[in-house]
Amino acid sequence: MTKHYSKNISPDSITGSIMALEGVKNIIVLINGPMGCKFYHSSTSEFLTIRPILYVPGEDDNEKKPVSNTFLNNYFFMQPRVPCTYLDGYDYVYGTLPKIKDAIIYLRDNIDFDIMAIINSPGACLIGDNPSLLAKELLDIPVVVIESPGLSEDFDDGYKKASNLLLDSILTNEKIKNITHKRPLVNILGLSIYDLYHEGNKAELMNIFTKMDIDTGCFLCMESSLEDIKKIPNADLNIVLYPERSLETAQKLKEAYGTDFYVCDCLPIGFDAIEKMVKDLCELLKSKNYEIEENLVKQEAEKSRAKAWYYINQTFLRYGKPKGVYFALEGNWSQIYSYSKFFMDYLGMLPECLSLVGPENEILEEKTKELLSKHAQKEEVFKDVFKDIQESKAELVFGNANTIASLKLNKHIFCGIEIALPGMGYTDIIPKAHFGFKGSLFLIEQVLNGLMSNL
Amino acid sequence: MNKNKIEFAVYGKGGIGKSTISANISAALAIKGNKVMQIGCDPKHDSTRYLMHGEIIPTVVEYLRKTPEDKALLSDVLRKGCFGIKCIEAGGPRPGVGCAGRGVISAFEFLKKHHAKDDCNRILYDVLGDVVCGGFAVPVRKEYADAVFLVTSGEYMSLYAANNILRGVRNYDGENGKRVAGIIYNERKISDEDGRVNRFAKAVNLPIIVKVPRSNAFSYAEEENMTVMEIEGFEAEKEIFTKIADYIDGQLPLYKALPLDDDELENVVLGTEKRRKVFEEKSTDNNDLVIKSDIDNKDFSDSCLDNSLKEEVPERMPLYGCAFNGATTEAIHVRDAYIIAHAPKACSFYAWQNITSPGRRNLFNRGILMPSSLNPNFFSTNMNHADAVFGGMDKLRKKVTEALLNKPKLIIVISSCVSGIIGDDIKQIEEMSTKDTLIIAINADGDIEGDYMKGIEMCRHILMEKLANKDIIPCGKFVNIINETGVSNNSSINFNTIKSFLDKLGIEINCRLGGDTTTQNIINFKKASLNLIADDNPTGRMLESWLKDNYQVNFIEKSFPIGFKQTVKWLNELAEFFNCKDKLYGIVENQKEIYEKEIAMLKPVLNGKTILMTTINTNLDWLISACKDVGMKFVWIGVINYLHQDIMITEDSKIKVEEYTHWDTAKDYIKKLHPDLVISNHTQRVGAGDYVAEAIPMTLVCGFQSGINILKRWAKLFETKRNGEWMNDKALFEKYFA
Repeated sequence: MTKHYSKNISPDSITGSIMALEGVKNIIVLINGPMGCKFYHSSTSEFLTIRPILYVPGEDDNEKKPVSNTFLNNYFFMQPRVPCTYLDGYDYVYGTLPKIKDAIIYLRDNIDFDIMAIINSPGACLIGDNPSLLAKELLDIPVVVIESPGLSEDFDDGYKKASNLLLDSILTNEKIKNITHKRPLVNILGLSIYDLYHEGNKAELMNIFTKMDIDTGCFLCMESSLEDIKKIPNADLNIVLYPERSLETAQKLKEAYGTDFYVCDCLPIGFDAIEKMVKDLCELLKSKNYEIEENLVKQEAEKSRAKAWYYINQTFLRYGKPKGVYFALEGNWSQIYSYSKFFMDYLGMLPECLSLVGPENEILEEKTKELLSKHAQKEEVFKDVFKDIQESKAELVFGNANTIASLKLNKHIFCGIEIALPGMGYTDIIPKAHFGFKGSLFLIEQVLNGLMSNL
Repeated sequence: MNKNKIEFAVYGKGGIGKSTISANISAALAIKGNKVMQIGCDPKHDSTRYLMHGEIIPTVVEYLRKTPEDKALLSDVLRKGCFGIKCIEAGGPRPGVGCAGRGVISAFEFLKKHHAKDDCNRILYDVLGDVVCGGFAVPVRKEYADAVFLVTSGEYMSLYAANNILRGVRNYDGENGKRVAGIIYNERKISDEDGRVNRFAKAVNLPIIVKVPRSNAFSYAEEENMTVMEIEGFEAEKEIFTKIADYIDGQLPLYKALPLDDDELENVVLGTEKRRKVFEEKSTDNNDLVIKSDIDNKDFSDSCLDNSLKEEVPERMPLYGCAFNGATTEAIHVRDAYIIAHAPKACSFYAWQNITSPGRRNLFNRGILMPSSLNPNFFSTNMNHADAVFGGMDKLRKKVTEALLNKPKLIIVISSCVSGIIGDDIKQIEEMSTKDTLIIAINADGDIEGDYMKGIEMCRHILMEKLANKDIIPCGKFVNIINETGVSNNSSINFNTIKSFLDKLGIEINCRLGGDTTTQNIINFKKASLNLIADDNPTGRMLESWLKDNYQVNFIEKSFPIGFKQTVKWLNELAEFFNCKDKLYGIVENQKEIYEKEIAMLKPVLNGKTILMTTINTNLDWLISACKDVGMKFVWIGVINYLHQDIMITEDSKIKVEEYTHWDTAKDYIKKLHPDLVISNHTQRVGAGDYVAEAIPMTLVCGFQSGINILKRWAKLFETKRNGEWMNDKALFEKYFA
């Protein structure tokens, strides 16, 4: 019986769905479930993005704020986001529709929002109540209803389900007419506000696309508005990050609107990965040639590499590292492949443990194995690398704070670097990133500082 | 006659006539002098109609829907029918919504709570046998039916249902249990009917107790809304039910449930060829069925929507959190126990976050390692949809079997709302206990059993009941600590403060009930001669009262002391109990000097200042006494009683304390009373005003100088600029982000 909780207890599909939808601007995500299902999501969502606060305990002096004066029963329960229908044992017997109705009416009459999502909790989904009819009767805006949030399914599956239903509820079958664009227009699929450093990652991608003279339309489920989503069919290309979450969506959009899609070889982590993505997009979108000297992305890439070289070289000259440093990494296949590629190809580090949390993905698994083969002098070098992260003795551990904190109880000394939520408790005001050039430099900064603790 | 109480279930496919048969059995038993109760467990709630001579009685499920739990009375749903038979109808939700099985469970809980069956010696459950889901299987659980009768005709679907019921019984009883009384054969006059039923009975190794032939007696009785047993004549029919009553009152032999698999059943009842023919006929009809189904769904949807739009939400207080989460968070403190959540991954994840959040914060902010918070022995069955449909017990057994390989001292299994709704009976798992490992089940059922605090209470009570040895005689200078707040940052600081006091007095800690502990510590709970409450809240006080009643243990009156006077008083009481007051002198005098010096320094700033407080805390005497010492005055204290429990803020009757739920109330008092200081621990946004706004934490730091430390901060706030300039930038937030 493994004590590796991530294999056993990690955010599942309902969290994936809630966080995907909470990433839409001006949306209300109503959980049809007990209050216990809302607390985590509300408190997490509150700190993940900066946006209008739906509910402020005690603040009712501003007339624009549609806040109930009653503390105990206004569906928010002293938290600012993700209201719920506070189901109890009786509701499982008599049905939940009366409470859903009251909640919809309260929210409709008190809060301005563009989209409503209603997600059944694991308990509520068992009794078969369908809020769709009620919601359609009471609201004249797009409504996303997730009747079955999936029991113990993966986070990425929940994200996929929610984002597809979101598009189904908003998009018609035709492109919006009379909108022309001179520069190539792309949508970004697969990002989530639940990703660590999502704000900085998005900013880095926008920075790269701007320098490439490419316009970004919709970052789906990443602070995208109703209007952004409506314009999705107008893009020239959909870019797929995290295929576990968004490949199916891209395929659906191709089928419905003929929009081509590009699946990134890996997440844009590390210079090689970014450069490959940029070169591919230049070719696909007939954008600026990457190879010419005046290409702004190329210039930034070169400056970033130069800066990185200086600091890595300082450490290497003194201690011979990061070459040969063992690392352990926990994540879904996209993360495992993307981070490992950067650490192995660029920094010369070696994987001691790679631990999957998320759905299987044959393509990414194969790519990761090819990466390992490329670096192994002998076949058996990495044969035990896929294992329980709780067994890790690596010098650097990349994972979420729960994994890092639990490993701190072991006796070996290591530096933990967060690459996923939940975090250790640090509130990021200045956006950090792991994507793009700044993200790559930040990651190198974390690695070098992490090594310092063990030199 | 066997005078012992016998509870038995009569199962059969819907429409097979089991209610008619049940009513007549009840009547026959009553005629023989038994005190009989019949409980109808079919949502159509007509089981007792003949016993009640046509009167439709209110169902428990519908009654509980309309009636607050504390106002519900057994007499409102219990009726007496012919021969003094007590009649109950469990009922069910409106067709198409809710969970009827869950309704049966709720009704049974109500009957149990109100001791409905106490004065009866024959209890008959008339149960729908078409769907043997967890809810409808409740009567065959061991705490209810001692015996199970199967009512069947020779029709294939009727025998199929009977076989399914055997599967349900087998599921609960395993290979060796014997609880099936036999078959009551209700004839329908189809071809080869006797042959079919006889072959089935032989195959499942059960006796056919009686054959109830088709007879005008039943249609006549139906017209009269009576049982056959009450009508003159029809002696042959009466004899059948008297025979069943004799059977129950006599030896009542019981048999193992030996269900057939589907192929065997087909062979036994139909023969393969006939079965294939039936299948082909059904296939031919399929298209028609699909079309009809679509139409029905539409009609149903419209009617469902209409009803839902009209329906009012019954007034019930919202439950804060769920019992599953509370029980889990409490259970992980038993260091050598494995905690298994019988739940989907989502529920386990929320509990995990609740457990690990203070661990991560303490590690990050203070460098404190909290093992039980960082890496608890916590596992989840990760129930999926298949488990929800077919039951999750096999998966739970597998998880427990895995855990047993590690030979932990204790395994605690806790149920979520999903396992509760589908009726998984996790109590069965306790039978898997071994000589190395005790297994304890906590039926929290998500929030079905109550809120977060209820879960904590359940966990503590059950662990004590199952583990604590009542025969141990207290000895030595040992104390137990109870009711530490697990999810608070300050809990470990407070524990260390108290431990340092105890160390100085030469007192050892025996068991921390609600804090870091072991199975053996709970077993030895009674070794301590005194118990200390850590946090003063209704849950802790309820636990104190429960422990006093059930374990005859001593408590120090006050909780962990906060502030100077309370700490002195608390230490005196403790030292007196253990007869070691001599060790106290140096500690108190030293702290007293510091306290008085600080008060003197703070007085020039704080003397005469007024305070208005809105709080969700209880017992604020520690703060009130420090404020008095420094010359401050409370003008109003408003309490948000979000846990709906008894509250006690201060023993000082001169201070006005008011419960409120509406922010306007606090605002009105602020306008009217013009306080210098407004304190709140649930919001800092107390509106604009000429006062200082301040927060106090949810869990306070105990010890001599707690009050002083807070007063020192207030003094700084009065002496310096009151608000940061950031507060002026709200308009900018609205401009850029709203």
